[in-house]
Amino acid sequence: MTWLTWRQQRAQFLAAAAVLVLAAAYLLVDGVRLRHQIHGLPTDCGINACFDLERVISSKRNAYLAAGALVLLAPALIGAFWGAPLIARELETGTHRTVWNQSVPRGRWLAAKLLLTTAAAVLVTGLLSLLVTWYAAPFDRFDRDRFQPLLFDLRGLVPLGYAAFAVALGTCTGLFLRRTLAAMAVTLAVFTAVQVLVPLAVRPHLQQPVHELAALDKGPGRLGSFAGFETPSGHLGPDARMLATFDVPDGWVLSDRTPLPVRDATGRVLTLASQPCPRSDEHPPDSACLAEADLYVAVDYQPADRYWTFQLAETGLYLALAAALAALTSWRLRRLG
Amino acid sequence: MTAIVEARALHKRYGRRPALTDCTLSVPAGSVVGLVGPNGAGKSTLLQLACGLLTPTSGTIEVFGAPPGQLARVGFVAQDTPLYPALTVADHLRLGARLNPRWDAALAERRVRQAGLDPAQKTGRLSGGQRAQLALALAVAKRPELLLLDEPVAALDPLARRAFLQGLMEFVAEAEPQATVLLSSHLLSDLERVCDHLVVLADSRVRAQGGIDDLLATHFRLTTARRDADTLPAALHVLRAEHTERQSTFTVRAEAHLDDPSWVMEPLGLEDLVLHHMSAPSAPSAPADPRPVPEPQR
Repeated sequence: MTWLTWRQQRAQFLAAAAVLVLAAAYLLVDGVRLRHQIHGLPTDCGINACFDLERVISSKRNAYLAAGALVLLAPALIGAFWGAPLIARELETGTHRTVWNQSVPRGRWLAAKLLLTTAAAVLVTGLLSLLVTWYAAPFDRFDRDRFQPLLFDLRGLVPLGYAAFAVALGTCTGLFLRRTLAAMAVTLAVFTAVQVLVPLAVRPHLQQPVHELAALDKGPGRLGSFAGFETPSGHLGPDARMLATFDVPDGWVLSDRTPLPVRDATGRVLTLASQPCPRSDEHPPDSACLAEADLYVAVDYQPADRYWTFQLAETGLYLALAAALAALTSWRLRRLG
Repeated sequence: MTAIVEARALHKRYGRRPALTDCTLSVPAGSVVGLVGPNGAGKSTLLQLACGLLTPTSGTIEVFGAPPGQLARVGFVAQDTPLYPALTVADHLRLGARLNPRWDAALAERRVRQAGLDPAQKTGRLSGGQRAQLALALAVAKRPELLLLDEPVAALDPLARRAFLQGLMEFVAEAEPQATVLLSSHLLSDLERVCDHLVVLADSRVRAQGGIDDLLATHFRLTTARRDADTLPAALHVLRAEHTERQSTFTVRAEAHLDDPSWVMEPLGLEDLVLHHMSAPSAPSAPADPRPVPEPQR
């Protein structure tokens, strides 16, 4: 059975291997070159303090984006081109009537096909992810944004889960629709929808976010600064609220409204009238004073040290979805007819 | 007598459309049974129920005394002989060898060689006749005790048809253990050369079944001066009556030839017999021959 699956899919597997080898050759050479270029440059820099590093990073930005796109697209394409035809093509061409009448029961036939294809998909996507995670490491140290929704999808373990899920989704869709082309389209649509929905609605709740009244520009691992006043009418009235930007480097800020309203130590929202620094009708509050004042924002975020917990949890979630789809496929296949 | 396939009150519907209605039949061991009927009569459905590709809507079908699914003992050649177009002839034999424990590689290779197939050829490039030969090789090399063939020659030209049926007969003659064959066609001429039993299907129902010799020995055409059907002796079961002004023609079923100076009773040809059963009105499900099917004589 393994032999037959390999014989049927080998052209696709070899094509994927070729893409992988090309990508690996480019990214390995370029990644080593990048590391040489930034070797010895200061990495822990404040604002405008590492211009050289930024220049080198910027010059490689296109390759970085292309590598990311590869990891983003791989599971979707694998789901559509490997998963969807897995059963649908057999049903479409009638070959299932030949292969299901050999001495191997349908369940074992499915298991061999699905396991081998999933293994290949996970292997290809895993190697690609490993490669891109390594290549992007200098970017991640510079940007400090790998926990952000889109980038989170392109690193580490999660692409493996996506690949397994995409194959199972494609296979199951193909079995129910019995049409290769329709199954490919539906697989792409559903996979994309899930990939959009999970970061928006599921991932933030994988672990209870930290809720904190965080001091601006105080405490390690935070970047917050006073941003201005909210002037809804275009007029700077006494009830205009103070706003601040806030970020957690390598973490994930969930508070959906940025900039955030600035609060005092008790959590009260500050306005132009209630802020602590001297001002006059002509002049805004003194910025040197504001920089010294105790200002806070109320923020929900996932701290940086939860990154791998989230990677594991989301990978597990997708693997569980894949297993559920595989079970549904197997159940349906045995009752077909 | 052991029945290899035994169907009781078998029904299969696709949605609301009946594909097989109240089918009760029995396939004796060692027989070669022809399923004949027009397209859409339920032949494919019956064969796919027997190999387990389909499950009945109601009723039961048993193969070797158990529900279908003993894959290693049943060979199936599906309609249009679906094969993997991108795989070569040799790949298909390898597929058979890997997927069947009782695979007879020598038999498969001999059949492929006899059919003149190039092992390196992709099956997508084979002619219909060559594909059918390969499908047959694949089905017989697993050494099935029951071989099911769904319209195997429908798409073939007369020469390929002859070669295919020849190959089938060779399998039946050589099969060890003894094989039972069930094959369908919408043409009687494909079947009468190879079959010893016949099942006539029309409009999803079994219209007649039995040994061919037996069917021939019990169906007659009776020509008399004009008379009513009910004036005939009770031993003659009238299937159909046609009257002209001076003459009556009856199609009858009878245990034996019945001599009488007032009529001419002649055996009904197989073709007429089948056509009669196929075209009979569908309402009364023609009572399948109530007597047990005799052992095949081969």
